[in-house]
Amino acid sequence: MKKILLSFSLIFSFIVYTAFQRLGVFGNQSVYTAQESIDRTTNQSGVPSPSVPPKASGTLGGLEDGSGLEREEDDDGFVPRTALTQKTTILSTETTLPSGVPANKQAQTPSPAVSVRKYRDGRYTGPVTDAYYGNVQIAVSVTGGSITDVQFLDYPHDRKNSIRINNYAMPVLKQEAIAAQSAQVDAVSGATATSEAFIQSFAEALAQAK
Amino acid sequence: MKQTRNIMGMPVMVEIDDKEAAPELFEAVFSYFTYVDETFSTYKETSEISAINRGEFSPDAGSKDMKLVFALSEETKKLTNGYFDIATGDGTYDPSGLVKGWAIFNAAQLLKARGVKNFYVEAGGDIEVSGKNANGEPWRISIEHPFRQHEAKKAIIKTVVLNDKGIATSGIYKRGAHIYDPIRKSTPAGDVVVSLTVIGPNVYEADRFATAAFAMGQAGILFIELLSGFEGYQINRDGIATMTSGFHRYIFESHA
Repeated sequence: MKKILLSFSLIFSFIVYTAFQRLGVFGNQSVYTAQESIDRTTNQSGVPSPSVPPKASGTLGGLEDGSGLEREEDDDGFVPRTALTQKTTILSTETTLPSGVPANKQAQTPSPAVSVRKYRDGRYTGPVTDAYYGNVQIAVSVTGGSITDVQFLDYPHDRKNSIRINNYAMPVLKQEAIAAQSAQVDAVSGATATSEAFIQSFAEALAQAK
Repeated sequence: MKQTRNIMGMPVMVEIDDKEAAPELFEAVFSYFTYVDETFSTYKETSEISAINRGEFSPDAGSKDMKLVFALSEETKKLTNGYFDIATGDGTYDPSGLVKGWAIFNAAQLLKARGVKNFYVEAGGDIEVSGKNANGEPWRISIEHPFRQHEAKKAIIKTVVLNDKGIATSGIYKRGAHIYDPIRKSTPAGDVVVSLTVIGPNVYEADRFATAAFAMGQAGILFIELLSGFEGYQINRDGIATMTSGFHRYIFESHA
């Protein structure tokens, strides 16, 4: 019994790792692309069906524009888009991202509302993918513009149970100790001058010193 | 040619490196900042925002620019899950976290509309650059040393090279024994992040997201990481910096 349990947990860990690979958590986000799923597989079982009507720009869910994650620009032209296509991510258990508005701003970690905000609502099924030990297929649910559910439709195991994953893995970012430099520069960006009251008197004093 | 003037309670710096840099260009920029100050300064009793904060009229009944700033603030609030919010909590509004970048951006547009190609506009540590500097090279901007702010010559800890971008830094200003948080107008004891610098497609975007992400604490840099087209450099109180995965592309490596 113990051996079976151990084997199962090993396989499960590998599945999770592989699933995250396929999910694009490690940087390859092709699984999210509904169009790719149509192109790459002949036996795909799910078809994405966005719950919102197509936008005026003419794209439909994830089917026509090749990616369910792209979004149109707002009128002012300066709207942030998801960075998932560009960033390399590594599985990390550091941060859990709630999808609601945090009640206590100082204690909670924010959900990346900007990045996932423009995912179209719906359920998107990735391609059946070879995970070496068997097939893996993932379905992603988007509600209110955020990823709310990730579901295994298939994984290398006899029983076809689905496993839900609520955490969305965050990237691990490079760190360094700051060190003073002496480069010749054109300008300096800093936070010092944001204290209006202080700067008022400081600048006036400076003006007198000129 | 470079000029500095103190407006909005902060130094406003304009450098123009086109062959022709008419004095009226500088005047136009400074006049614009003066107008912004007179409209949006919560320190001026006669400003429009002060009148709104006294309850004399609602933002909806304000000037076009006031309504625009409120609309932009509302949009930013939604995009940042409420971490950017101009409502102060006591019934008044303080849009300075958005107005500064917005004003610099507008000033830059003003110069571009007059055909100026090579310039930067800076107000209070937030900068919009365009074209090339006096040496014909992309603008070289440094990030201020967060713990050596009192020195006469600005101490810097990182230099970036920017092509038509905006850069904004939100942070805590240390004054003597007290740490004053200009965003929350409070003295939080437990803040880990002392500054967050954001590079974005323009200074309006960089400023609003730097403001919001700074309020998120350590998770702020992750928020910037997830924004396409934005990079960030976050410094904590131990002098450790965390950077987004694309930030390295901007770093200036001196090969002297």
